[in-house]
Amino acid sequence: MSDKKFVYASILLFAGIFLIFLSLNHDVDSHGTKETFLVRTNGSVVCQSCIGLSDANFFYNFKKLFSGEKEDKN
Amino acid sequence: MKRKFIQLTFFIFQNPFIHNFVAGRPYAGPLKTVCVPGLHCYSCPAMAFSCPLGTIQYVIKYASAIPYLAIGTLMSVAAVFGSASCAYFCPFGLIQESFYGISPWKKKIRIRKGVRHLKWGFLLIFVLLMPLLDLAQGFCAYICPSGMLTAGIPILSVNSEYFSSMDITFYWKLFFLIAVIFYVMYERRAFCRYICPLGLMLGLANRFSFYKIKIEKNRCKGCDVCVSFCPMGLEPRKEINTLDCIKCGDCVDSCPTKFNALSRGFNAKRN
Repeated sequence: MSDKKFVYASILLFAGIFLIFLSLNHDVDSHGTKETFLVRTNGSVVCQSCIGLSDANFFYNFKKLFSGEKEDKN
Repeated sequence: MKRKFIQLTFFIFQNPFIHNFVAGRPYAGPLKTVCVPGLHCYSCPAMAFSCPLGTIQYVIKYASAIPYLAIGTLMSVAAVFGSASCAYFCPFGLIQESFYGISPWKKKIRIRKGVRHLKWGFLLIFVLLMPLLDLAQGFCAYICPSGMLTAGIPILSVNSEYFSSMDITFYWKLFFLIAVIFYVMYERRAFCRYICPLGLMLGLANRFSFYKIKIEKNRCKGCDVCVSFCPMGLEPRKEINTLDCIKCGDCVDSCPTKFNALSRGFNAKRN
């Protein structure tokens, strides 16, 4: 039993480290933006959601979701 | 006392850029690429690193991608410490315990059995579903009291240009922050008990993580002294290393020396 738990923890640890390495080379869009770049950029500016200012358009987004209206993110 | 020292050390370690409060802008250097396992807003001007919860929501919503970095970090930390990082590294955990410490109306309350599962709702709806449906960064936008306390209030107090954007979302978050602060002064670590999705994700590995609390059942006399010391309101005799346990070790310290039934560490025998 204890060996099993050790194996689970080891697998989780190695999978976690693998994902961190993967994120270093992972492109999040077709322009080749790296995930690490995205995370750093996001953390470096004032996040409107965090300070409670954004998503006033939540109801608009909600309506859009169910009306089938699409918006090109790029 | 030792745990408080570690919490304070990590708090200072994560917040070296105090001078940024004057300008009301967050630090923008390379350290922001690193996620740290604790609830602390990356928009806090003093914060050096990134919040894994915020990162998960942002990458899902704005890049429609799997947030490998934040998930990988959480998996690695969970494998080694489980949710002990809530007890030792989380700045908002320290903030809650500080409010509880100075509170004139604190009570020792056991965790509420049904309400403890609310965390799943916050994780699934606000952290995963709302960004997935491109609605909002749900947890950051509507729930996170850490964001309001360490980023919203300090940034808005020095940047008047944001005032015109204040709407019901802002007032809701402010109300929620005040409610959380008052409630954690009454019930210890109430936010961790019922709301925090980060603690939930880390706690999923509690049963098998390397760092463990160990109980020797033949030594435990069931005196339940540890129950009154548990910050999560658990019954350590039955509930150590469970999903809600933050492995703080307060039960270990409180166990009467004549019994010495509890221990902690990486080499604690796995039971």
